Amino acid sequence: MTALVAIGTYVPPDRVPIESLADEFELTPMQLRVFRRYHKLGSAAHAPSLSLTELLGLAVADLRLTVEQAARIRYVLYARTFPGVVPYPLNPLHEVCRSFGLQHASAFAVGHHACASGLLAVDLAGRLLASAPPDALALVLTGEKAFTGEARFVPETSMFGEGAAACLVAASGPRDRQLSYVASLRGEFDGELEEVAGEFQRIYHDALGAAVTSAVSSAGLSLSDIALILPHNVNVVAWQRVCKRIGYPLDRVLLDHVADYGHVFCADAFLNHRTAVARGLLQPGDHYVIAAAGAGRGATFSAMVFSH
Amino acid sequence: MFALGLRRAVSRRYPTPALLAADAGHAARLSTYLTDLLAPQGLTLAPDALTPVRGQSYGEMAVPLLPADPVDLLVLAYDVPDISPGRAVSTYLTHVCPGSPMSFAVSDQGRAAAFTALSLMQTYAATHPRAVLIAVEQADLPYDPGVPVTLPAAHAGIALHLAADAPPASVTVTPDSDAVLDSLDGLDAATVVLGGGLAGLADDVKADRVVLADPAQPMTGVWEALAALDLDTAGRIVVADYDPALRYLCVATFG
Repeated sequence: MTALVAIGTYVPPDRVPIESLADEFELTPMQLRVFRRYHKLGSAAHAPSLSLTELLGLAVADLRLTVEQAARIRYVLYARTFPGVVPYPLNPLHEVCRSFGLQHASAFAVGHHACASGLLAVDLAGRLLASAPPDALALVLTGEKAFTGEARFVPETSMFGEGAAACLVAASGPRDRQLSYVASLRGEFDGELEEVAGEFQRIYHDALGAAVTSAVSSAGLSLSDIALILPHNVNVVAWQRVCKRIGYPLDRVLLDHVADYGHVFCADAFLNHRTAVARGLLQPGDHYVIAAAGAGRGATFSAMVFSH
Repeated sequence: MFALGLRRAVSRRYPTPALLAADAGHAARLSTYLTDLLAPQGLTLAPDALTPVRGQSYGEMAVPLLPADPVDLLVLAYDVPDISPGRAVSTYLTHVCPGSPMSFAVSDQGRAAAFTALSLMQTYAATHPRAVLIAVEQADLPYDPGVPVTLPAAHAGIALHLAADAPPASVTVTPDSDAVLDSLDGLDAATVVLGGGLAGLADDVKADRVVLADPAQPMTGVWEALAALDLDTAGRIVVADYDPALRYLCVATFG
């Protein structure tokens, strides 16, 4: 059963306030107040001096891989929100692998699940490791640069923050074992954001709630068994609505970083996991859900259940 | 042990422009996206780079490759970006493909991405017994990346239709490979398809028939050559290629 072995993260110290986006996205003072008070979006992490390669590298460095661990890594999967993030043929993934002596690993990107691609990568890593030698490991990388308008701001919804996470995955292990994974692909939202936003917002909370309850059910559990939800940091009101629909207490959704980091692409899940462990919110044996959704010319709603 | 095998392989070229290329609104958005993408590298998009848009849309290229019958899994493999760099193409394909399959995309691994996609698809064999791999490459890069780059000569796409009740396939992707010759020694195959990265080894391969893929099509060349074979008479087939930039040796065996 796929298990998380260790998580490394990097969040830069700089922040950009939501107000800094006002001119570029023609946000009115009223809209800015709604973002701060209603969606609880205040700022986003920002790393103006770091390249994508450096950002990912800092997350891998935070893992403090031993030589023995590095040698056991057979796969490196880079999960992305945006399919294209650097000019071709630049390849930050392989640059990071070279920097950390991981050339012996098969490294590739997986995606087209928008911000839910991180969960896809964990699931795929586990699948590959299931037929690898028992001591083999996989490394899942997440994190992107807010390099263009649509990678900085989702109208009426969220602002993206820069950061990265690196998650070491094993085929089995004593903790953070994956019990289920559900991905609901909604390719009908294959238009420009302004074209699909209305319908996407209409179904968003039901679809994300359905992914969560389906994953919990697939794990043979009920929502009352779930100690914590680790969400994507899209905004607070979205999770208020999801919780209301599925009947789950909002105070058990870890929303600590929404107002500060912003939505750190596919890295939210791992950043929030780190915080949950640091705050003592997960006890041995606790079941928890990692959930994410995203739209970017195609929408995906995903959830994964783990046992800590 | 469940495994997918090859039922059918098809290929296409795309000589006409993408419909999306004629969309002025899309061209404007693409210009913004690429300008912002290039700026951190100190690169710029030439003023006439997108007049007209010359590249292809992977969504458009993939649709005619989709199976007529339902499938459970669809994986898209590509290397060169298309003219919709922010689009979740594989998710769109789930919407239009019979069977509304689970789907995802594999990239950032040069020509090895299609082989890795096959490896990943094998892990679904027990639960997703009908599957299709689509690999696409388009030939236009509307900017100078400032580093050496090899682009395909033509817009091309292939589909491998896979099923759990076909003779099982196996795939290996060997990273950081210098041992190309050793790895290709002892290939037990009636037909060997060699990609452009291995064309120089054609005389060293022992097989009834050795087929050289179009070296001008880094991603799709070997699969196009596979699609040209008569699968009923080709016997056991090995498809092999080597990515010289990222140094992956890739070998897929069918039958």
